Amino acid sequence: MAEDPISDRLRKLEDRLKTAHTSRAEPPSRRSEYTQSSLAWRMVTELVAGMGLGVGIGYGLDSLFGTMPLFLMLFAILGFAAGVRTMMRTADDVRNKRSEGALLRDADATATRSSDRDRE
Amino acid sequence: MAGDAHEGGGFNIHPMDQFELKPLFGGDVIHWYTPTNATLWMLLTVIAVSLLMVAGVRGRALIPSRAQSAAEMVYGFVRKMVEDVAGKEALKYFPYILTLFLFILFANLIGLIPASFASTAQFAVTGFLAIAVFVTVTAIGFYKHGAGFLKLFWVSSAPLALRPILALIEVISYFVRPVSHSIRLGGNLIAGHAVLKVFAGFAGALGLASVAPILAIVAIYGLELLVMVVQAYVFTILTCVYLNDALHPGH
Repeated sequence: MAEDPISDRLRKLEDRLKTAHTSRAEPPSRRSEYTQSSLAWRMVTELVAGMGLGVGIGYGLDSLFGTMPLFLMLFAILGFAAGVRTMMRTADDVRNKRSEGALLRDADATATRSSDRDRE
Repeated sequence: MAGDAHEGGGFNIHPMDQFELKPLFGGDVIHWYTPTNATLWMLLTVIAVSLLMVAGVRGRALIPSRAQSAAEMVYGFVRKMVEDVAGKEALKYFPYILTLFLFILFANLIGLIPASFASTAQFAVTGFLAIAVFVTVTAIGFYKHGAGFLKLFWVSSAPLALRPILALIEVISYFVRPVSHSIRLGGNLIAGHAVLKVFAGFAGALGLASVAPILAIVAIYGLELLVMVVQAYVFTILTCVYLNDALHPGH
């Protein structure tokens, strides 16, 4: 008879604790948001740099040999392919949480750690 | 306050003026040897780094002082990064990477001090850093593996007919790396500093309503602090990734 009110109060306390935990959960960190945009910028730069490099090489070869549009066209395509290749490698890094993607992993890890703490 | 706004004739903002190179000792011709404001602020960066890493750990105390524990933390952080990303063999090159990280970090942060000059916003500076990394890493690759380093460009999983074209693409993409490496560091700095300057221009022109842009500047400044540290980290970790490629080609 004496135990019932105590367990009742304990359960109420549990509920209050739970609501307190959920209301005070940390918002998703600004850092991972920033890292995502930074990664996106990195991919854009790589695409453009690849294209630009290809065009530069093509233009240089053309003005050397006097075959104006030939190498320019060829190397523009090759440069674009190289840009895509570099970009895909960056995407791989993100998927495997390597290099800059490791920053995302840090953010995820802190997020899961705090949610673990909540569960306990 | 209103007089200022009339004097400027509305918005009078020059966000790119802060990146202009000026000779330190007068004159207006810049030769390759002329000391400029970039020289001055890079020198200050080096002095700040030496203060932390040389003077800060001078005591070599068992219970570290504040400066010593900061220095030890940076050391341990970069060392762990090199070991994690590029493996144990890469620790030989750890001093170079630590130097790069500290220089970029301090140059970025010192550039955030109002009225200072951001030396890492100059593409000449970031470009040189990236080219130095590129040349070093390529030289290490050839030194360690000789002609076997070229296997990095030879995609052995592709059909034989396609391989020469793929090799060409791989070579170009190898050269893309230093370009994007340097553009990202310099571009982030230029963008951040220009945005701060534009908002500061608003604050100067709006009179009493300038409270809003000033609050915005505070927020952006906080974000910029984060950006500066993250960009230094990113430059360093990409250096480690390239070093890893040079030490273990064909992966």
